[in-house]
Amino acid sequence: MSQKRVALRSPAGNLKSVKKAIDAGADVVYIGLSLPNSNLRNYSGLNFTPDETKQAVKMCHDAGKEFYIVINSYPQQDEMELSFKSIDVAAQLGVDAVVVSDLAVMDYAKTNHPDLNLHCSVQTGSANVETIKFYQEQFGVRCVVLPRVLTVPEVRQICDTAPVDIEVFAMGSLCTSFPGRCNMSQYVTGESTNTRGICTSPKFLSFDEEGDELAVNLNGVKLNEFKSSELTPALDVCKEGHTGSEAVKLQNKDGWNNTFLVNKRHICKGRFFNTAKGKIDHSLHSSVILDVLPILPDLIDAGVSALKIEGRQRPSEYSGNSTRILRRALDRYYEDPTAYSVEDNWFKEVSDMFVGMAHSTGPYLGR
Amino acid sequence: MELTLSPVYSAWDKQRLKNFYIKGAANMDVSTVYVGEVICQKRALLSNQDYKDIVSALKKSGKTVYMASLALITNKDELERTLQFAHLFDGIEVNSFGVLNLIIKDESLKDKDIIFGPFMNIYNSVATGYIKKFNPARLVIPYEVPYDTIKGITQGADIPVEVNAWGHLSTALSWRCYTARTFELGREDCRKKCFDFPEGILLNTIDDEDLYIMNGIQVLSSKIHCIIEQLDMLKEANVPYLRITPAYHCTADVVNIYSGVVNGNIDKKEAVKMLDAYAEHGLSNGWFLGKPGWEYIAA
Repeated sequence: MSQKRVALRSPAGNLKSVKKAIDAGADVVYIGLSLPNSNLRNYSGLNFTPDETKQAVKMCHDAGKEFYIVINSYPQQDEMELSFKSIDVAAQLGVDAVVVSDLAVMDYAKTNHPDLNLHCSVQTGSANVETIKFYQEQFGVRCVVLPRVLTVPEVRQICDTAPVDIEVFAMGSLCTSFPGRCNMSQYVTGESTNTRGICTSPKFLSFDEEGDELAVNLNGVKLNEFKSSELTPALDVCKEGHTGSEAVKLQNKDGWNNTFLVNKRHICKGRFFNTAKGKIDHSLHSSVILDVLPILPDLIDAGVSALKIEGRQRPSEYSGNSTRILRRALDRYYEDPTAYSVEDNWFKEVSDMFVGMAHSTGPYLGR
Repeated sequence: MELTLSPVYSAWDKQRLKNFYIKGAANMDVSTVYVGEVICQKRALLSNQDYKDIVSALKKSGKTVYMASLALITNKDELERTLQFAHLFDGIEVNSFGVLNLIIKDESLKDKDIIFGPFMNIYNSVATGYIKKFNPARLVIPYEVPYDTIKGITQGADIPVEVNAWGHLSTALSWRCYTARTFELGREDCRKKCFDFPEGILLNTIDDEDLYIMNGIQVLSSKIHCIIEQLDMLKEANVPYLRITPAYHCTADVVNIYSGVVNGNIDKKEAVKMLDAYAEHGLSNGWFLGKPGWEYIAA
């Protein structure tokens, strides 16, 4: 078992989220940075300006918490200066770490800001101990965020031998792909997850009524179709416009006069005709969220140093609620590890944040 | 410009794989052949003797022979096994920085070429400049990188690049085995179902348009990426190597057509027509031109 208590690292998409995460018990709050003409993480209204970042750093440090900036898109040729500028701004603002992916960005940070604490983003796809050693030896990274591709025994194997702290995802979206190696939506839209930081770009999505069904199309490719009875009415919290799901307003038709929540909009969560099975199904992925509450003791025992909550793009309520749920679980575990169990109301609270999504421990318990 | 053969990404049985290299690739007009398993360790069926036979046949016909290594490595066993036959080859294509880290510390591999494979996330000339310290013999450009970036990389860093010129595009790698999932099996207990689908499993949209091919943990494009019409652009960018991905049936014919165009014996427009016959679900070149990957934009 690790000696130090596991840290809880929470996402924030705005200052309200930072406050809620701190109040709910986050040890670290992480954000994205927005500079003029920046395209480094491509959700509208998601990233912090330098002024907002300065305020957020102060809020965190005043509360005794740490503050990280994530700069983890892979810049293309004409974006290098902007990426380097982002590192400069992070260093000037006194953040506790930057979470990075690109070799050039890491090298720039190491060379120009040797005191800046570097963490490897999940986008590096560091899924084995030798890859982690590479980043530690080349750039002096101090922590690596493991991709959501590993089993608990594999996480333990890494924790036992890695020369850095290990952070794992604990809650939020669950990709089926290996980070940094997924271009499924780019194949259809032309916009890259790796270099543009966005999957299944909303600007290419359309929700079209076809008879008595709602079709979800991505740049003309039909990902899914629903009957009105299959749709979940959206909660107010989901109407902020930047949830992991899409709130779709449909009117002027019997049974459609409401705002609905469409979870299954990412391309991997679409339905396909599987030619080997001869039927339509979710051949790649289904609508699930990662929830490690049932295996929290296993991850702690494996030796992880930090738990990460996914979801900078989600509303501030999410930052607060997800942090509160995991904080309570961690505190309960440390009170008496042998008595830890997931209570029914915890499950419900998580379900309320992810309407219509099933809970999953992802690959942790087997692939 | 020289043609190369990428590793075989699909699950072919051992005999077919041996025949492909010894009887097929050895006689193709390619200067380099990559051999080895990239997608899943469970498919790595060739023995030390098999690799010796393959390397010997290819070397006899004057090829440079590189070993390709796994792209997704999640445990110690995979790390240890991925380089076990490396000493037989002229060099190693790395698709994980972990494998690179092993090679640069292994004295017994110090004379081997290092090739940065297409799964290494090198997207700009500054990152390319950084990897020069490992003295790579080549950089294989990631599948989704557009021409403008390729040009920037070739102008900004002095490493020969290899560009994917023909084959299904790799659109994703996953922790999940999609082929096993099709049969309600887990990845750890997959019963090697991939070998029943040596060309993968086609996924159509619910509107019955072809879109992807499931190949174990990999998702490929259904369309075949083809940039035969853009060879002049590649020449202008000083790209020395064009990579052909082997297919189950038509690799020799495709190599002949590409070779014919490179050598000026076949007109590019004619070549497109000829190649289209080998692309059951059509051709694409969108990513190369900075567009959605599945589009084909005629020159």
